[in-house]
Amino acid sequence: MSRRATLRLLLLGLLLCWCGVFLRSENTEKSIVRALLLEQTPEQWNVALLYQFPEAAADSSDAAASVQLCAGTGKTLEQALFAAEEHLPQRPSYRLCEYLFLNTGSLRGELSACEPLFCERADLRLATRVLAVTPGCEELLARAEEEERFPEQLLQCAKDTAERAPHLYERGKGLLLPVVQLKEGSITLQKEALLLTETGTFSLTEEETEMARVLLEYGQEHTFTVEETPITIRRSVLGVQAAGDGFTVQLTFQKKAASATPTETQCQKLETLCAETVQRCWDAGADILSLGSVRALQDGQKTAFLTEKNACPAVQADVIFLG
Amino acid sequence: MNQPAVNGGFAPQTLFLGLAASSLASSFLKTEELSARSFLLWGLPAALGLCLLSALLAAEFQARELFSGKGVFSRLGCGVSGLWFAVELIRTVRTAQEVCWSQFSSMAALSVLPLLLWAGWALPEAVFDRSSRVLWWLAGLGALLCAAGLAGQLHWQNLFPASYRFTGADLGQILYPEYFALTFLCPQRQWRKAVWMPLGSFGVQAAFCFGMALLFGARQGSGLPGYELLRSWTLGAFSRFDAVFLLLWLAAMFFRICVLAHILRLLWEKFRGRSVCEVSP
Repeated sequence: MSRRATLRLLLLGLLLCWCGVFLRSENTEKSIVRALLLEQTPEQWNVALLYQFPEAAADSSDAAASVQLCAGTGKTLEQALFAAEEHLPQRPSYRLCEYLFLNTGSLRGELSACEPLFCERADLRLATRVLAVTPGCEELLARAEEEERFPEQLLQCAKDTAERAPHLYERGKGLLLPVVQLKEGSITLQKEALLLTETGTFSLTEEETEMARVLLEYGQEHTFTVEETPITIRRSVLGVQAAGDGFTVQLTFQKKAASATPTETQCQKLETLCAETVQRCWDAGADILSLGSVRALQDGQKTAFLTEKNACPAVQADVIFLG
Repeated sequence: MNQPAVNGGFAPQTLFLGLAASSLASSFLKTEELSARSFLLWGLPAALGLCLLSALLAAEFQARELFSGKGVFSRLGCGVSGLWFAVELIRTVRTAQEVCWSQFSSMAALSVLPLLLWAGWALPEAVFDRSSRVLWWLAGLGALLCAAGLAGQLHWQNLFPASYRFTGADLGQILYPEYFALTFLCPQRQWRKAVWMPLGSFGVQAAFCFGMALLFGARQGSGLPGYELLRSWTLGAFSRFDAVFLLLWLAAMFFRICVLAHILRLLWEKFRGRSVCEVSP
């Protein structure tokens, strides 16, 4: 063997050694956290984790392993989270954590505390869907011990509600939170949603909730009960225009095939509901139609348009049903 | 495989692939406050200025035969360029390793570094040109899927509440050594196409910046890590597409490492007074 060939072999060996140094025996078995539940009480923080182990699919939101629940408490959120992670069979992975449940007891505090957590941890993301939940972690844990399938049902409820739940990154505009509750032992979704803004937490009525979802374009199908007649909307198109000092809102609905055709009076009631919902949300500190941006686009200049200081501008709604 | 490059040098799209990956990295690693509007207003003239500067310098260097390897002046030019490219190579490796570690807890970038350097040193330019075409197709597909996954979440209204104030980051242009060595890197007259590379890099950064503002809001988007834009991607059952996108980006960065290693070799040979033809194996 020539000297050159020996040198080449030596270099190849060196290269393989170099690569080998960085090889790690990475274990892919992790506890896949699917949802995070936070509860702040005056004394402590409670954190519960909905997780799957060990058969969760690597990167699929429809992983088939059974869902389990574990919880931890601590004086700070970090301590509580650490305590909850201690109960996991393997080290946690938050890559598939898509839902954040906040206890209705202290929504504002919980949201403020979890913001830095989501920004700091590399595997958590601000695109997580946020939901409100009425029972505390302790109650949920007790329920999970009673019924094996309870955590799975809770996760399924979150999945079914995902379209109507806001992302965490929308917190600055105000969050319209669907409320998950325990009713007669089963998990149900409250028809009334909570509006969480910088100024506080506000409860919307069932009709206002549905209209707010239409205006925020959360989900496709919506049902309104007007004059005791249910009207189911399959699809809606929203248009907002600045007109004089106020705004016109054009709502074009396509009703579901089996749903009744609304009368003119019913359309007028929907128009009134639309204007009232905008007003209600404005008063709560949320500009759900981005009227400030629409005005800025119309005027060609950025003007102060703060919901906290200014009265809600006049909104003229116009509801049209196709077909 | 070992055929020499016909004209010597890289095709502009080969050089730009690495620059686009590097510009993208500067976008998603950025956390300082940045307004999309001021980025466009300040960044575009800066990018156009760089294009002009790049074209003028290329013409001047060509006239003076800066990269011919003949004479002290030329060797000095090759030496200085070589140093700059070496610094850029180190920066690229560091960025790739940082992303590998933070996103995948992996030392892969360091692990394959000797292999990349060897490949960059040994392979001819034509191989890079051919590989870049495949990577460009993949990058196009990735960008399309990203846009589809974010489509419902981007709202123009978010652009409005921005407060307009100038920061140094608005200029947003990183000086890459490729901009100033076009006549050396590109064959014959192709460097005239390559002078638009600063504008292309700006386009990548501007698209990312606007994506952040459209999704998170002009005010909220400022100060958030750029990764969040990729993490928001969702399409049916696939909830974390960002990993695939980052792997694709990593491939482009590895490609850039190879290209930079090859450029260093060419400059080294010139510095030693050998011609490009002798360099190609």
